[in-house]
Amino acid sequence: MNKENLTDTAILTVAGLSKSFGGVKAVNDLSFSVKKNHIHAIIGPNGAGKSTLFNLITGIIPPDQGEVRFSTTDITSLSSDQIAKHGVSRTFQNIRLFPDMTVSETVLIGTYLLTGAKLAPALLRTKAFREKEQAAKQRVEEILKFVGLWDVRDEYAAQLSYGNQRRVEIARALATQPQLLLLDEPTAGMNPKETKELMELFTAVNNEGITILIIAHDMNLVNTLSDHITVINFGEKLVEGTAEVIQKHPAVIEAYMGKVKVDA
Amino acid sequence: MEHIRKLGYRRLGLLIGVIALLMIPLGITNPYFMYVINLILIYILLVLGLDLIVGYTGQVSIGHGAFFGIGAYIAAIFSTKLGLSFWFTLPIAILATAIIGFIIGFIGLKLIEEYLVMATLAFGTIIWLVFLNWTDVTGGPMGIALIPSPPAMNFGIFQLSFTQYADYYPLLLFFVIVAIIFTKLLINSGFGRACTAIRDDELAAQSMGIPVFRTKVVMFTISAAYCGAAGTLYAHFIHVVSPETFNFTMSVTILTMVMIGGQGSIIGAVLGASLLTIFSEALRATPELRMLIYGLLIVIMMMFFPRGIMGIINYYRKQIEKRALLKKMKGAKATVDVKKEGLGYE
Repeated sequence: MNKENLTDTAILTVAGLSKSFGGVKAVNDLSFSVKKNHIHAIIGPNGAGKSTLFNLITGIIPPDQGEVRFSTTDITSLSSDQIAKHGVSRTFQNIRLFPDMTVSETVLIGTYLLTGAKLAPALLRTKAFREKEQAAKQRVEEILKFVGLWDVRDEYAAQLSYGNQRRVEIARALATQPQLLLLDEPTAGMNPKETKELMELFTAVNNEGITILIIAHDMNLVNTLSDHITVINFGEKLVEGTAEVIQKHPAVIEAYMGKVKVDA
Repeated sequence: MEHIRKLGYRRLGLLIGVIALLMIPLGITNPYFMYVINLILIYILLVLGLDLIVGYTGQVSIGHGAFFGIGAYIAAIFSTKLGLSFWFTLPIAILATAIIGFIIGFIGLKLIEEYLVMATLAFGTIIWLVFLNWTDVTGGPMGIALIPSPPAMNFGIFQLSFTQYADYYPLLLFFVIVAIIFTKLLINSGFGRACTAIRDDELAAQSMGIPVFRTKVVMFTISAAYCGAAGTLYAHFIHVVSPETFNFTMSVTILTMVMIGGQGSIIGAVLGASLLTIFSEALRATPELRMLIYGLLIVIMMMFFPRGIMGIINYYRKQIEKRALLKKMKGAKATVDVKKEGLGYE
């Protein structure tokens, strides 16, 4: 897919976003935009407000100020289920699976927006209901094959390896058919092999035309995958640009390493 | 054996259960036993209803005795004061409990966990006080007596005149089966899946596009309607309603049945209702001992078998399946390492 043709349109625009917890400004007047079909990385030291930013974008917590726009829609004041409906899906930093469900059942939950929850058709088992159920199962199968979990579909998701649990989470998010996928430190705690495999998965997802906004600490991952990087620190945007720009930027080095004394 | 396995233990159990249940009145001549069996059926309806919100949606209510009471009182009032028959009081009671359930759910379900428990407890107590003190309508502590039986039904060779306990049995069984089918259809749908997702992880569920609050309220409403239906059946079966039936103890009893049987399981609901009804009838002579044993049972179940009887059954079933699988695998060792998980929530 030719990314250059698509880079003009912003799929997500964050403008002047602020959120304080008590006296702590977790996110402070933050603005950036994510271009369609990009893999956009958010990096920053621990406590920089990255996860808060994700929670603000997905409506889990309301912002104090600012605006979040998805394509042209203002999603700032929407609840997270409505935001999911618009085509934004996410994974969580500490994996959140449904403890009582198998892999395929978990991913089937992600098809909620496809099947809906109308009671009358469900109780009457109408043709439309059965077709939608069938379509949902079909989608689950496709996604499980796509992420490489088809063989373990009947196992309990919570009993899988850490790397595979993350895959289940991603599969569940993909089942909602998102246009934008938010990944919150998806490779934290993974071994190099798992990380590499997940990176391949992210590229594959991106090649399907899904824009990815990813929080990561792993600089190798960030440099390899991302088309654009936003660095935040203390809730504010420090720098943004491509990987080469970011790596050499003195402010980034300072945020991560501390100030270099040059008085000697 | 192979075709039985294909059918699935769950379905097989259900089938055997239904057949056995249909045979019951033929073998039982003692009216007291018939009375207990009918009572079990009413409790099954209640437990199925409560399980929808507790077991499938993960929202604990200890106020469902009140919905049972509202259903029973509405049936009592409409049949004794307005002379409506059972077939009219039933839809009225279902509709009324659903509306009240919706209102209570809409207010209460903004709260979570222990706060919701407290709110439902308060609701149950308020309704009980209304039954007790609104003498003009509810008859106060005396309750309402002389509630008529359902009108006689004639199926050609087969007649139900509702003059003896055995006549109520097919009617109650019919409603229980309808409720079970309704529950199954409800659970195996997008809506049912949304509920289980909410039970397991609310935040993750909402991020999948599930409107958490709305789903909870709808399920609470349906759950209340089940209890309303059970209440109507109870009123027309026992012929008397009085406040002490629908107090806090009733709510706890239903909840205990859900816990003992196994949350989120239809067979569990049937088992829980049956065992505890028989148990409490057996201990009728010593009611104090009954509450003591209930309490102990809940503690033991919560500590060791949080998924109830169905949890234990599923656990052993899985063990057997695992063993069979290992036997099939070539060169597998005979020793089986079954993990300790699977009994409880994570």
